[in-house]
Amino acid sequence: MSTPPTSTTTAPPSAGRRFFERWLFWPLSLLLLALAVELGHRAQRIVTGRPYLDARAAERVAKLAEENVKIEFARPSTKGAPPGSDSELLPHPYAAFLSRAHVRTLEQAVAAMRDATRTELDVVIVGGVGAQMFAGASRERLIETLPTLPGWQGRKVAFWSFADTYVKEPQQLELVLYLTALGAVPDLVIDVSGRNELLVGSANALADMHPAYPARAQWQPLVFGGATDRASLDLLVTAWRNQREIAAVAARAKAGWIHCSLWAGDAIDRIEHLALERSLVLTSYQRRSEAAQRELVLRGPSPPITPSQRIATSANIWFQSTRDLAALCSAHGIRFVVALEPFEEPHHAAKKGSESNGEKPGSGRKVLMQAAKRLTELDAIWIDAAELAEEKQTPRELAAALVDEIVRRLAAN
Amino acid sequence: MIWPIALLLGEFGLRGALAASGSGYSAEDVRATLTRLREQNREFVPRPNSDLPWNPAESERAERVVQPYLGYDIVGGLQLLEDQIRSFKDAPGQRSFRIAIFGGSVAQIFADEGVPRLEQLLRELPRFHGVQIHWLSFGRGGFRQPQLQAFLAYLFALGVAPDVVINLDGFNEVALGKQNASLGSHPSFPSVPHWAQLLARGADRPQVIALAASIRDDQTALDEFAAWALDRGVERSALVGTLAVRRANSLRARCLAGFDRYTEALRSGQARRALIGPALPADFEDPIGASVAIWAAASRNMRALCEARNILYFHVLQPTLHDPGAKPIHADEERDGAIDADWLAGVRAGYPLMREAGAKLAADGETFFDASRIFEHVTEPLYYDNCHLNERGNQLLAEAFGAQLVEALDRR
Repeated sequence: MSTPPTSTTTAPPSAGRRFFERWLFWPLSLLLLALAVELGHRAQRIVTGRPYLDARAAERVAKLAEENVKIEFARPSTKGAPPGSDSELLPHPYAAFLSRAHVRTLEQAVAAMRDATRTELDVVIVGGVGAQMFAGASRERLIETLPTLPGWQGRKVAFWSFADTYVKEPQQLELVLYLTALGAVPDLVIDVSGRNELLVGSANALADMHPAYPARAQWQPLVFGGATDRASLDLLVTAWRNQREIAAVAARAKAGWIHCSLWAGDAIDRIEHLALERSLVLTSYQRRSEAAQRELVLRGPSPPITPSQRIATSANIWFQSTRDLAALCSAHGIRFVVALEPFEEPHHAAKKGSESNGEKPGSGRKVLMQAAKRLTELDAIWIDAAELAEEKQTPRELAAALVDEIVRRLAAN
Repeated sequence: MIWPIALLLGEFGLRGALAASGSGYSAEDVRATLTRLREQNREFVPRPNSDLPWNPAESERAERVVQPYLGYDIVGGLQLLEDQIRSFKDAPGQRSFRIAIFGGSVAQIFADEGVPRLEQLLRELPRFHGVQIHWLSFGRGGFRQPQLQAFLAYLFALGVAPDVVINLDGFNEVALGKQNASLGSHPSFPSVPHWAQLLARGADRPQVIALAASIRDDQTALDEFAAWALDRGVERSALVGTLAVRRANSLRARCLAGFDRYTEALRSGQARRALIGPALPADFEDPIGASVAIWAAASRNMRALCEARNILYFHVLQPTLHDPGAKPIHADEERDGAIDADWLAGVRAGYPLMREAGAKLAADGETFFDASRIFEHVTEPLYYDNCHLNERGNQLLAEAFGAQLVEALDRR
C-alpha cells in the first residue's frame, strides 16, 4: 500500500504581516532590548553604589570638555609683562628682543633721522639697567648742556632711548648697526653698560647658556614654542586633533546622547583617555621643544665653565662689541661715549643663595676696567661711572655728574 | 569584456597621441617624477624644485631655528659655528690665515665648490707659502643684509675675527626684499618664509595648528600615494602613469597652497608686530630701492667694523640668471630656472641699482667687485636653478674675482 506523495507548503505571509515584522516588530524589539540594557546598566550601577544620573553625567562631560578644550598651546610671551603693554618684549631678528615701546621708538627714530630737513640733535641712549636710569634722570641736563658744545650750539635735543633692564652687548651694537643700515644716523650715542654684560653674562653661563646670548629669563619665553620641526608639529597636530575629538564628544552629549548611560559612561572614559593621551603628547612636545632650545636655540655656543672663564668671556664680549660700536660710530661721524656703570658683585643669584657663582667680589669689575683701558688705545671715550658714583647720593645726582663728565670729555675731544 | 578593450584602446591611443605631439611617453620619466614629488614633500616647509633625494640627516641639519642676532640659523650652521669657535686658535707653531665667506645659499655653495679654485689662486702669493688657509663658511640659505652685518658683529663679539671677510651677496637682498614687501614685511627683516615659521607665538596657536594638520594630511596622502604607485609600477602604463603624475602634482599643489595659507596665518595675530618690522617710511615706498639702500649701508658698516680690526673686507656682487644681459640662457637653465614673480621683479629692478650703488661703494674706497656680468658671453649651463651655480659656475666665479682678491691682499 502506498501513500500518495504530499507536499507541505505554507502560505506566504500576508503583506500586512510583512509590514508589521519589518517596520514595527524588529525596530520595537531592538528598542525594547536597548531599553532593557539601559535599565539593566542603570540597575547594575545602583547595586554597585554608583547610580547613574543624567544631570551629573552631563555636568561631568561639560566639565571635562571645558578643561580640555580651553587649553591653549601658546605660552605667555614675557614674564610679568601683560600682552600689549609697553614693556612687553617682542622678538627682534637682530637685537634679540625689543619692548613694544622701543619698537615704536625705533620706527619714530628712523623716520625722524632720515628726514633731511630736521635740525634736531639726535641722541641715542643704549644699554641695560644703568642706561635706563640714566635716560630717565639725565634728560633735562643733557638738553641744557649738549647744545653748548661746539658744532651743536642752539640745536634742540631729540632723545631716542633704547635702554632696557636686561639688555646687554652685543644687543646695543646690533641695534645701532640696524639703525644705521636703515639710514638713521644720530649725532651722539651714549652707551651705559658693563653691569649686565658681566652679571647677566655670568648668570647665563651658570645656566649653561653662552654669555653672548641675551638674558636667559627674557630670551627663553620668546623662543619657547619655536619647535616647528616636522616631528614637533606632528605632536602638536596630534594634540590638536585630540582636542577636536573631545569637543565633538561634548557636542554629542549636548545633542541628547547624555540620556544613554552606556554612551555617556563610554564618553566620559573616552574623554579622560584622550585627555591623558594629549597630556602625554604635549609633555613630549614640551620636552622636545625645551631640549632643542637647550642645545641650540636657547644656549648658543658652548658657554665657559670656570668662574674666571665666565668673567673673562663676559668682559671680552663687552669690550669687543663696545670697540665695534665705537668704530661704527666713528665711520658714520657719530660721537660716541661709553660709561662703565657702577654695580655690586657677586650678582643677585649668589646673594639670594640660590647658587654661588664662585666669583670673588670685585673680580669682575677689575677685569672690566682692564678691558675698558684698552678702549683708550682705540681712541674711544669711556668714563668710569663708579668713580663718579662714590660721592653721589641719588640716581639724579649721579646722572647729572655723568652728563657733566660726558660734556667735558666731548668738548675735550 | 568591453572594459579591458576600452582600457587597451585608451592606453595605446594616449601613447600614440603623446608620440604624435613629439613628447612621447617615458616610463622612466614618470617614475622619476613621482619619486621627485615624493622626496620634495618630505619636509614640512616645502623644498624648492630639486632633484636631490631627501636625506633625513641632512634635513635635520637644515632645520631652521631661532637665533637672537640673525633672526634664524640652521641646526648645521649652529654646530658648524661651535666647531669654528673651538678651532679658531692656532696650535703652537702653526701659522694660519683665515678667510670668512658671508652671504646666502650661493655663498654657502661657493664655499664648497668655488673655494678650491680660489685657494689655488691665493697659493701663488709668496705670503701663503707654508701657511695654512682656513676657510670659514658663514653663508646661509636666505641670508641677506642686514643679517650679514649682524652676523659679523656677533662673530666679533665671540672673538672670531678672520683675516679676510668676503661678502658674496646681492640676489637675496633684492629678490627676498621685494617678496618681503609683497608679504607686508619690511625689506630689512629676514625673509618672511624663513622667519615667520619660527616665531614662537605663531606656530602653536590652535588655528595655525589646524592648518599645519591639513598640510600634514596632504603630505601624508602624497607620500602614501606615491609609494603605492611606485610599488605597483604604474609607470608601465601610459594611461595610469599619466594619471598618477597628475594626481601627485595636484597633491603637491595642495601642499604648497596649504603652506602659503600657513605662512599667511603666521603673519597675522600676535606674531605680526615681531614679524613685519618697522613701518615703511615714506621714502621707502619702493621696496627694491630700499633693499638696495640697506644693502649698501650694511656693506659700509661691515667695512667699518673690518677696517677697525685691520681685516680686509672684500665685497662681491654675485651674478644671477634672470638679470637681463647677465648670461645667454641655455635650454637646461630655461627649463630649471623658473622664478617667483616677486623675485624676478626684484632682480630686474634691483641689479641695475646695485651696480650703481656698488660703483659708489668702490669710489668711496670699498674693495668691491661687480661679478654680475662675468657670464655675459658664457653659453654653457652654469645655473641648476634660478640662482644657484653649478661647480663649473663656482669655479668661473672664483677665477673672476680671485685676481682682484690676490691684488688686494698683495697691497697689504
